[in-house]
Amino acid sequence: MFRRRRSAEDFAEEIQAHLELEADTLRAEGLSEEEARRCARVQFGSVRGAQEQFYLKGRWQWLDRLIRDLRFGFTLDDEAKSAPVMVVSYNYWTRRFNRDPGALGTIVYVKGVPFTVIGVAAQGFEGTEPGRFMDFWIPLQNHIEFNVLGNTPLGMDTNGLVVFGLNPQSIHSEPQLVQFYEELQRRLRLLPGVESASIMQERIGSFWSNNSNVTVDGHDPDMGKRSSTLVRQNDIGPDFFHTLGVPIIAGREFTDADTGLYGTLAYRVSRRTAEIGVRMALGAGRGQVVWMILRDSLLLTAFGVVAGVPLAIFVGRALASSLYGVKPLDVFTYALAVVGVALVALGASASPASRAASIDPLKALRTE
Amino acid sequence: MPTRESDDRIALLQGTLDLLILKTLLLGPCHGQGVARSIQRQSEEVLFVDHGSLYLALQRLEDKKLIQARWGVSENNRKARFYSLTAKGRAELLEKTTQWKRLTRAMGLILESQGEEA
Repeated sequence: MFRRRRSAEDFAEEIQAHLELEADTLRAEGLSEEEARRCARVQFGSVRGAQEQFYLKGRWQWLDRLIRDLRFGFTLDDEAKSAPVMVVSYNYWTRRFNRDPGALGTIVYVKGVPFTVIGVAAQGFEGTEPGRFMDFWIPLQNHIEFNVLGNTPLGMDTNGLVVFGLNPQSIHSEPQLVQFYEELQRRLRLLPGVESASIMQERIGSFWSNNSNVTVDGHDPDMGKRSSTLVRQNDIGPDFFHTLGVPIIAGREFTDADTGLYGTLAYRVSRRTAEIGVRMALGAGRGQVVWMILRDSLLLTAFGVVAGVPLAIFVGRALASSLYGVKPLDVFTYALAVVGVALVALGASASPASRAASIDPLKALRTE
Repeated sequence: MPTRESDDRIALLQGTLDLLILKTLLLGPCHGQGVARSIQRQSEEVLFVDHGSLYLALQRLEDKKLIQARWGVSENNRKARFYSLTAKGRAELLEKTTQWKRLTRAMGLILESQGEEA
């Protein structure tokens, strides 16, 4: 029914193998090692483009986008529409612009790229890193075609300028980016009292610290004296959606499902009120009646679970490569769902069954 | 099908890459880079296959079960994904080849006829 989708990693591995094979062939044709590798890349064209086309092939793109939006808090459209802008620090505003409100809209050059000043940070805010003072911040622009600072594979260029890579597809295909992104998230969201130095010692601390400086060109000599770090402007977005948005939606869906189940079972029991009256009139005990109703409801629910779990596994596997952080066979999640459904079934049946069993059999018999 | 059109190279018509891949694989299992090289060589370097498009085409054919793939080791000891024709792929190749021959013959008739008139 659902065929396992070939993973993006497998496709990326094949492309890598192709580049090596092509470089081997070109070397055999007389090219130098470096030239052969370069030609192989050039002849292939856009590796990232091919990977993205593979990734998007046959996907539910709207769902994919929704999940990406929820996880990362912004879309590729946001990047497409973004302009080269910056927010400067209060100190820099003072030093460079003499606190002139006219600074807004001014063009400042970084590495020869013009950025428009669109804001000044509050006095005292110098950045997210203790002990380091930033002059300005510019928003993340990861996509090469949108990145006004040029081609920066793996989020950095040869001049040591960091442009954070947050393209979800790239993150999936490049483990280094996953690691970098995770670290970035942690660093930008340091809680009060958490020492930055301890994180600097961790696995990509050196990567960060060695490459976080911006080289400012001669258009703005004053800025050239100091280094600044590029930080993501809306860094709170991903965590907010990830920690609150997804659980809220998941909770809403779970509530909807449980409400539907509760309503169906409660209605089913209420329709049996007359039958309950007959059984009680014929001598059935209250406990027997309640147990009968519960047994029937639980049996029905069990059938639903037996039919639904394999379906959920199939759908989960089909969607696995489209989703982030979701395993198609998460035993704990399935167990939790089954227990949840059973509890709802129990609640939906116990209350009306108990009520029906406690009323006068004559009244129960008269119930329509 | 996108190919690089430079010098005396010719861009392939839409859909012809699939046919060329199937034909190349008729000779035996081959990895993607080998397929690309083979098409270029056999066309006397007239056709240049865009490598990125090639892999997407290979994936498309695999999805249609016209070809199948397995990871293996290349002649120069590199890891590579080898593709081979399936029975369905052979049938498809036969059918598309016939169609293509009819098309080229019809095109030839028209173009030659126009040439004579001109």
